[in-house]
Formats: sequence, C-alpha cells, structure tokens
Amino acid sequence: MRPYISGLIVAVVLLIILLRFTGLAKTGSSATAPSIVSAFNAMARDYTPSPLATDRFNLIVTKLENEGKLPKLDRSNTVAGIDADGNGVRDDIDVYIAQRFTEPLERAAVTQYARGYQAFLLTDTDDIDDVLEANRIRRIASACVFYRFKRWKDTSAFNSPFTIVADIGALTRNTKARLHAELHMQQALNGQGWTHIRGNTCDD
Amino acid sequence: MTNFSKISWSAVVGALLAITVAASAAETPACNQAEALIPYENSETVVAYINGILTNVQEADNGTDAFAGLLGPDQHGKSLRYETLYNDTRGLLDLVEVFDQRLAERGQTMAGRFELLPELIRGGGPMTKEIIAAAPELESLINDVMSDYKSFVHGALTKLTRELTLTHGENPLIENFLPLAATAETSEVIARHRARLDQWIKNGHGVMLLAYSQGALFGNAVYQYAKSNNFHIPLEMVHIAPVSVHTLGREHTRVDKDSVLNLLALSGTIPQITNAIPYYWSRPPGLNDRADFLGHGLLEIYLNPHLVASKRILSHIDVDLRTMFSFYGPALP
Repeated sequence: MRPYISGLIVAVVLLIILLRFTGLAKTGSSATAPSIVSAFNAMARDYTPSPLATDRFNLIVTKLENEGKLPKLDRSNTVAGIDADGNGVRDDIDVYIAQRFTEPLERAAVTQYARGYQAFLLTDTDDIDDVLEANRIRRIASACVFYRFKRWKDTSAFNSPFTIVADIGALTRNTKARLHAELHMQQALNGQGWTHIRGNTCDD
Repeated sequence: MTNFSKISWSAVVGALLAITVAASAAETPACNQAEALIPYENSETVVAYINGILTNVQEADNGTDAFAGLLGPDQHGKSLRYETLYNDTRGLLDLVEVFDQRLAERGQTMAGRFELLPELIRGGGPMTKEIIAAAPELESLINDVMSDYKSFVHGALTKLTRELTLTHGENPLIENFLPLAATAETSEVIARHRARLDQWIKNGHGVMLLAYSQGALFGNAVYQYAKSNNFHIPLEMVHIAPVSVHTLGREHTRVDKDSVLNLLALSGTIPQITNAIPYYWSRPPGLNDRADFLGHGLLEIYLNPHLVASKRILSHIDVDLRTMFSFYGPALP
C-alpha cells in the first residue's frame, strides 16, 4: 500500500500547486478547503493502483536478477531454449546448477535431472511410447537426485530432493510455451501408472 | 453454486462407482481369483499412490517418494513396491491463461516469469521470499495471486463434480451413467488404473491404495472394482484429504484448515475433520521446506512430520499393512 499512498500524496501536492497557480485556491481561505478535499476524494476514488504495482514489481525482480538473488533465465520463444554446449540442459539452467551445487556428484545428479526434464518437455506427445520412455528417463534422473541427496532428512531442507526437483522443474518451464509443453505431457500421461524407481541410477 | 449446492456429493462418488460396476459387469475381469495367481506370500506388496488435484507428474512422484521414504523398502519383514497411479486435472491450461491474464494486468515482465508460478500459488519459497524481503509492499499483490489460485482450485473441483452429476440429476440411476462412461476422460483414467490393478493381482501382489485428495474418487472406483469382483487378494486403502463423500469404510485424515476441503464442505458432505493444524503463518515447513497457503498439500501438510496428521496417516497404513500381511497366515503381533 505504501507506493499507492506515496503516489496519492505526490498527486495532491501537485494539485495544490496547480490550484494555487491558477488562482483557484487561496491559502487560508476556508471557502476553498472543501473543494480541495473533494478533489482529493475524487482522485482517491478514481485511482488505479495497477500501473504503480507493475512498475515496482518489475523493478524489484529485475534488480534481484541483476544482483544474482533470483536466477536470470532464458525467455526465448522455443521450448528448447539455448543449449550451446549441447549437454541436453539449457545454458541458463547449467549456470543455476553450477552456482547452487558445488559438490561434483551432487551437481552431476541435478544436471542429470535437468537433462531428463528438458527431454521430457521436448517429447512428441502424439506417440505414447515416446511419452512413457521420456517419463521413465525423467524418473531415473529423479531417483538419482533422491539417492545423492538421501541424507536430506539429517541436513538442511535446502538440500531436500523434493525441493531440488521441484525447483529445476519450475525454472525449466519458465515461459508459457514451456509450461504448455509440460501440461500436454501431463495430459498424455493421464491415467498411466508406473513403478517407483530408487537406488543409484546416476550416470556419473 | 446455487444449483450445484443442491446436488448431493454422494452422486459424485456414485457416478464413479456406477461406471465401474456397470463396466466391470459387462466385461470379463482380466484375471479371476482362482486362476494362475502367483502366491501372495512370495510377492511384494504394492503401495500405490493416487495423486490429488492440479498435480504434475513430478509432484505425483514426489508423493510416492515421500511414502517410500517414510515407510521404507519393507515393513514387518515384507517387501514393498511403490507405484504411482497418475491422474491429470483438466483445466490446467485454463489456469495458465488466468495466471497470464492476472499478471498481465500487473505488467508484462512479471507475466513472462512462469517460474514464479508454483511459489506464488502455494505461498512461500525462496524466490518470493527474496521479492518480499526487497519490497514488502508487494506481499499484497502476491496474496492476490494466491487468492486467484484458491478460487481456481475450487472452480476446478466444482467443474469436475458438476460434470459428473449434472447429466444425471439428483437421483441418478446406473443406466444414466453409461453415456458418461462412454465419453468421459474420467472413465478412461479409471479403466487404466483398473488394468494396472488387474496386472498386480495377476502377479500375486497385495495392494495398498493411498488415495490423496481428488485421488479418492479414483481410489474408490478401483477399490470397489476389486471388491465387487471378489478378487481374493489383500487389498486396503487409506484416504488422505478425500474430496469424496464416501470413504468406503476406510480410514481417512482431514485437517481443519484445509481450505480446499472446507470450501467443498460448503456445497456438500465430505468426511469429517480429524486433526487441527496451526494457521498458515505459524505452520512448520513440510518435507519440501514449503508452506501451503491452502492447507491442502501432501508434503507441506499431510506428511509434514511436525504435524500430528502425518502420524495418523502412517498409523492407518501400518494397521492396514498388518492386516494384509496376515491375509494368508497368522496375525502379526
């Protein structure tokens, strides 16, 4: 609410200055006070907070991205995005993983999941065999994360595998097109069942 | 809502059960109780998790993983095999559109950031924490988005139940369900789950169904299918936050501040509250270190080791597993 109030105060001050310069308001005149109050009330009634909130949100999020507190992600039009090194993981997701996970085996596990999830999003949903295979590969990668982070119960929740796979998923489906790709996969898998995979399923 | 509130919730479950009963009566079961069964005592017990509303496949797997982690690879000396029975929620594409529109009203840059969606709709999470820490005044905007999601969840469940009931009136008859069974995507989901169950039975597995939220509708249908065909196998089911009016005599758990179920309770009968939980702002984080604004999350609420509801659920599972393991032999101590 503070930005709205600040905006209103600025607007009222501007209005008073305007009225004074146009001679419509005279300092100390009790007769003009109601008109200013009315003008204020009218402005408050008509005030729409959205543009101010928008600017503020964008400003803050962009600032946090530039400071490295929020990941700066690829937002290109394709589902695949940019994978210059060809490792099956979008380059921006590679950067995120490298910054967050420093232990080599843990990083490898998360990278495997990111690769599996990226391939999952890029699957042709018209072919149920491809869909099931992509889901199997994603689950194998997920099992690797749960295996490498199996001590999560004893450590901080930052390393909870539930959080890790959820975060990689959320960051990977970061545009409308990518989110749609996931939803189409969900529809393709509707009603399917699969066996839970556990153990060391890691590639590296 | 006015019309909908007049419709009995029992019709929802009735619809699913009737589909199952009618369809199963018309078909030969994929396996019969007496033929070529692998002895159960030598087989794993299947623990099948049936996910809830608005759940992606990874979230569904996370539910299975959570149970696998909490129960372990075996119980009472018997091996457990975990399975996921996945049901998608129709309308998720609509949710994306709603989200997009809502955010577009507040700026295109935010509208492009779909990675924020899970945190914004559930509440909490590291990215939203960073945003609110940098600009506390934005919390109200984020709360608006969460409220939009709450409305959407209610709308999605209402739509599902309406679809299953409106066609059939307030006094549904079995024959009225047949057209639905022929057309609804729901019947296909049930048929696929049933086929999976058939396979487990054929291979001699005992089956424990863990039905969560919307999964109760599918769990009930599969359970009833097995019971109505007199499959001679150990079969149990535990309900967690069920959206169905019936639990078929199975145990259930529902917390008092589950706003999804509380909204549903306004328009019909659902199983009673069993446990109290703290308010949103004072809840301990769940297995995924996240809170759930709606009070409905499996990892955040129902399997949260800090909340007593999780102990109740695990107790129900333990009792049912003991029953299953005693199926062919003496009762476990």
